[in-house]
Amino acid sequence: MSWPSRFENLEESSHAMIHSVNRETENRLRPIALPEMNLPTPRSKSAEPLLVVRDLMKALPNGTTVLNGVSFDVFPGDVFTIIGGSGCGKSTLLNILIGVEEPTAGTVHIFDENIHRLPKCKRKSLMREVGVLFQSGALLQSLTVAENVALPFQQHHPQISRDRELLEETVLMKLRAVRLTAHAAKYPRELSGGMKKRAALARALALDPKLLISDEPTSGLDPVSTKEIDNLTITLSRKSGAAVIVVTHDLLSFQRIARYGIMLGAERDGKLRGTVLISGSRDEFFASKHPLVRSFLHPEDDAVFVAAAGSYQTVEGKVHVQ
Amino acid sequence: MKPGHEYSYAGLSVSLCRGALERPWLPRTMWKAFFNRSLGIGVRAVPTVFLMAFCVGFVLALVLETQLAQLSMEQSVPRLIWIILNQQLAPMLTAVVFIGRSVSGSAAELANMKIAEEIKALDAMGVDLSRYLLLPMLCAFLVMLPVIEIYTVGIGLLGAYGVWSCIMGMDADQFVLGALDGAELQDALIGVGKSALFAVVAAMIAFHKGLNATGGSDAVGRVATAAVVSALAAVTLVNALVTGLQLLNK
Repeated sequence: MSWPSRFENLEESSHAMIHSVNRETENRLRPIALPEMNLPTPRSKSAEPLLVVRDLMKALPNGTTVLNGVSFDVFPGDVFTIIGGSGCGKSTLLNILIGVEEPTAGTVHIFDENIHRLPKCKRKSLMREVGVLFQSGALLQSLTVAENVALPFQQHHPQISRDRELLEETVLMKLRAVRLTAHAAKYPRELSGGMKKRAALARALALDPKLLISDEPTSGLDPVSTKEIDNLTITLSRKSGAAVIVVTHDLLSFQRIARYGIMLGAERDGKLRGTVLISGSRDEFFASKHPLVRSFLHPEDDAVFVAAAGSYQTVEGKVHVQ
Repeated sequence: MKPGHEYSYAGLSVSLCRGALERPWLPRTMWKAFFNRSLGIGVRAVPTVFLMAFCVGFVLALVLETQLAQLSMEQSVPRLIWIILNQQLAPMLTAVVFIGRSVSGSAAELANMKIAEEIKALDAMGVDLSRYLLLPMLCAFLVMLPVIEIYTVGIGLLGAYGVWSCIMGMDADQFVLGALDGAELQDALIGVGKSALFAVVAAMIAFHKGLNATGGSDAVGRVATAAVVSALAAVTLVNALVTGLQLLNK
């Protein structure tokens, strides 16, 4: 397919080109009819947000801005996704949310507490209410699956961990929910990728946290395992009433589970890198006319895979990075 | 330890001291980790230490006997072996074996955990790294190095006795009496004290290198090598300083 000449040498504008899209292309860009999933109920207007992020900035020592003025709220029961292309700062944002990295500017409040200003003991109490599922699972290799799931109890609920039988029963209950009871005595190296993710999910949800933060939970998994993890994440968090934040670039997962979310500008988007391109519900994402949002959500469609912010130049139907 | 920041020696020292004083002291999980570490660091090192200590004692006795026989001072050999083993060779030999086996292993383990996001996961769960991970390692080093050092002295003397009985034809009583003639408890305490000091120095280097690892799987090898080289240099330097101070005070 040859590109129209009007797509060549685009000006540096994030909102260029969309007016040039012809009617046929417009029809192809209607939001996909989404299958209904076991999704949480819509936000209550009176609910207070669990997580409040305001004007988050993160710059690297070499001066590169990774996050640029990111703001969003997460309410109880939300399934909130953070999507974006490579280098958009998703992992950095996640590290800041869980307190592993500090932002250059801006604040992160979880349950009304600024997590980067809390003393150690208070932060430990706060983290009791936050479960984290890492991209690699991050199971401790020296512990069995059961011991990994027991670790949060040993840290935060000594009264349970002192009673060996109670602890074992509680751990088995958590493993039953992710269908891993038969593998409780195994070490992480003996598990498949999908099993590791399920074990990590059980550990993240061990203390029935109010907030679950999940970093690319389906990366490296086959489609069936991906769906399984998505289902488990939603079902288990819905049972515990937790809000879920999922950092992902898996479009199928996004379509399947997202209720609200933001999209961050990727490294290829130049000056828009690390900024919030769109914030809203899943329907608003698919209805968006923002070219970067549409090109991300419909990568198979060449007509909307367009340059923005001067990052690309199209020549004879081929995209070249400037 | 402040998450996300480089783990400095000062930061590690402060958090380890704070972790050691925090209650409850020695919870069950720490005891279990301490015993497992001690098994790996101490008990499993016994065959290697036996072989090395025996050979070192053997060679030391041989060299001393050969040289001192020319001055008709062979009778001083057991006494000299006692002093040299206790104050210098046994602590250094023990430290070298531990650095090669356990410092490299601990640094590599911590580096692997850092790269695989296990450290981040522990941080995110609110687990105190110093109490859960580092203190059991440090306590195992602190207990096992002096114990193995005493064992090294014993095996070294055994190797030396082998030379003594084969060449000089002396029996065990003469060798022991000769070694302990004028011996002081201070000689043994110096060796034990040095071993404990080397344990702290080597452990801190392993923690620092391991927790600051960055990169991929190749970083594990680099970190292990760097930890061994740094620990060997540090222990040699500390030994020289302590020996200098000890002799200056006499």
